[in-house]
Amino acid sequence: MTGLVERLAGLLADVCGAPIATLNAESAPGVTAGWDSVANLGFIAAVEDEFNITISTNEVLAIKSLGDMAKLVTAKGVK
Amino acid sequence: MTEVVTVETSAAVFQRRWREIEANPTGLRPIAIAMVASYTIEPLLPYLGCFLAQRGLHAKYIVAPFGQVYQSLLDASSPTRTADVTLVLSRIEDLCARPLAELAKLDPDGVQAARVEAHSEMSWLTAALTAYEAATTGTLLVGTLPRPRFSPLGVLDPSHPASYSQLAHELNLALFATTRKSRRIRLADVDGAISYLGHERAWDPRMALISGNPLSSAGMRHVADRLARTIAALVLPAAKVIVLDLDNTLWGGIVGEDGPTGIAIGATGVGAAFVAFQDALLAYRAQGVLLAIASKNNEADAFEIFDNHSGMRLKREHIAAHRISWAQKSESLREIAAELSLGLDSFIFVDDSPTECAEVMRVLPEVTVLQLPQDPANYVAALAALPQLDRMSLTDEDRMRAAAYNAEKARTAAREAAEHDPALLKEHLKSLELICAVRRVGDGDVARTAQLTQKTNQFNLTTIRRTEADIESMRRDPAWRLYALDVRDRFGEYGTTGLAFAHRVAEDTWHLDTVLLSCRVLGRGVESAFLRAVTTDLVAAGAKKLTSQMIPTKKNAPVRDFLPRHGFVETGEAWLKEPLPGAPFEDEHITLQGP
Repeated sequence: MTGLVERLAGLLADVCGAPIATLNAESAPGVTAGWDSVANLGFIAAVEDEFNITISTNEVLAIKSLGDMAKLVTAKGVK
Repeated sequence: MTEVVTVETSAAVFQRRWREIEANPTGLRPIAIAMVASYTIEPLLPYLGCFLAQRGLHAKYIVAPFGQVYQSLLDASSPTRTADVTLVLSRIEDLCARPLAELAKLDPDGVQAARVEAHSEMSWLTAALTAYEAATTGTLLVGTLPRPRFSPLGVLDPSHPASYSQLAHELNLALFATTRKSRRIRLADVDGAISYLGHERAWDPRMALISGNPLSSAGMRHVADRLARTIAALVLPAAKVIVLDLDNTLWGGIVGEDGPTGIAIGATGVGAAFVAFQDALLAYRAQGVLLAIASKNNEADAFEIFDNHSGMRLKREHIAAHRISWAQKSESLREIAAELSLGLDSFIFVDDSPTECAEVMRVLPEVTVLQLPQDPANYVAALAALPQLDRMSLTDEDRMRAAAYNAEKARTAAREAAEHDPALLKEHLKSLELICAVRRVGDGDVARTAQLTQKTNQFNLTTIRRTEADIESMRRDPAWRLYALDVRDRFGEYGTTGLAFAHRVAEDTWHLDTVLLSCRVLGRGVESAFLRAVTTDLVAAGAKKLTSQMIPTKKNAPVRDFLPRHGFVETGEAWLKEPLPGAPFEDEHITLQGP
């Protein structure tokens, strides 16, 4: 895992309760245990808090995996 | 110790903490909370759960399907009906979607019809709330309606007949009117929490689109914090005493150095901030919180200010107890607690000095410590932020408490003269002209009754805590008899200061489940008179035997000999008294009335 994916996995683990070791770039909402629609909202809020960024409605709807989130966060200038 | 969560804590911490609480709620008191909302409410639950856990409560949620407010309230088989607290959260945008759309068209007849329809929607809601209240025993907590975020009229909105904001005020007024007529429907100020944060930050239109929950993460934290404070105030007792430092707490400067003319307290400059703080303290005193002083000062210097400084709002008679000396503050607090016969866990200590605050925190961790902020302008806000001062019911006893303590001081002075002479003590008790009035717990007593079971620690036979809802359902059950005791003497009223709950366990046997007296009336033989009245009433109801039990706690030493002293005999688990009424009670000096 890259550093960023690892950081995001840490946040996702906080939100959905899955052990961080079970998470990777392919982890996906609706598939990964605990990553349901409610957890997804918590995850979005946590990512916005953590990186001080804003994610638009279309961007939220387009996120299909932890890797997608990493790409989005990177595109917003987070290194 | 885990870090405290606040409205500033990040979303991930709330999520993680809530999972930890759910996995291991040990030590938290469970409270069943039903959620009935016009929008998706699940995202709010972790925030609310974390704030409640911080007050020692484990939220066990029952979530009604979203958007079905009326149906959930009116459905007799709804699982929400068993909850301790039912939260009803809705928005005008959901409740009155059609009238809002009609208002926006601005057709004069249509505007009038839309306003009528909106009010009619609110009547449906209040009728459903009232029906739910009648069918349940818990508390209904209804969120005030946030004003709609946008009005199509923009800045013209408040000046136009089709105003959204005016409609919001009117609908909230209708909610207020409903709660005024009811004891178990209360309001939680959701609109206030959102206004406090600001509409711009409280709503998140993306989340409304994605999930059906219109609040932002910050909005949820603020709303959850307000709801948690409201719910906690329903079930937890409020603080009883605020102990205050003097220099730079009640006035600016140091009286011992600056002198009475050098301190800042009065109409102008920073002195006005201290006046505002004293006014806030007097407002809490009016709610039943006692004020006390713990200060390192010369007593004469300090009281010179209370008695003669024209800027002071607090006067000597407002102070229930004081320790003005060079002793450690923790020691002064202990002495004040002993003098007032109140537990330190119901104390708030207020001081500007970090050193003094740290000393009290270290020695007396059960005391709530408020270290005042740097700027006296912020003192009032710091005090108001303390959840320990929250209360959701205000009884006549609460309002009269501070005056009652003054009467108690006069009594103490009279008793001290008689202290060590049994004959004189008897004479003294007689001279009090005590009157005990015993009655069944009535409609207007429920709040005070629940409060007494929650707050009484010393003379409390079983220390069983009960909510208003518990008291309601016991009152409706013919197997229970709930007695309340009012005491007065020639110095004044003590108010409702005793309770006894009995329930029939067999044809001729009643069990005393609760006997408690406020410590204000101890040492006067009142418990004997109370038991005599209760026994007489139960005998009339067919009782030939009375059973009870004594559950020892750290604090209830004063009640330990109550049962043996009144003819109860220990029989294994329980205590038994027969025949009734048994040996004479030592209460000749008391006039008994009722039940």
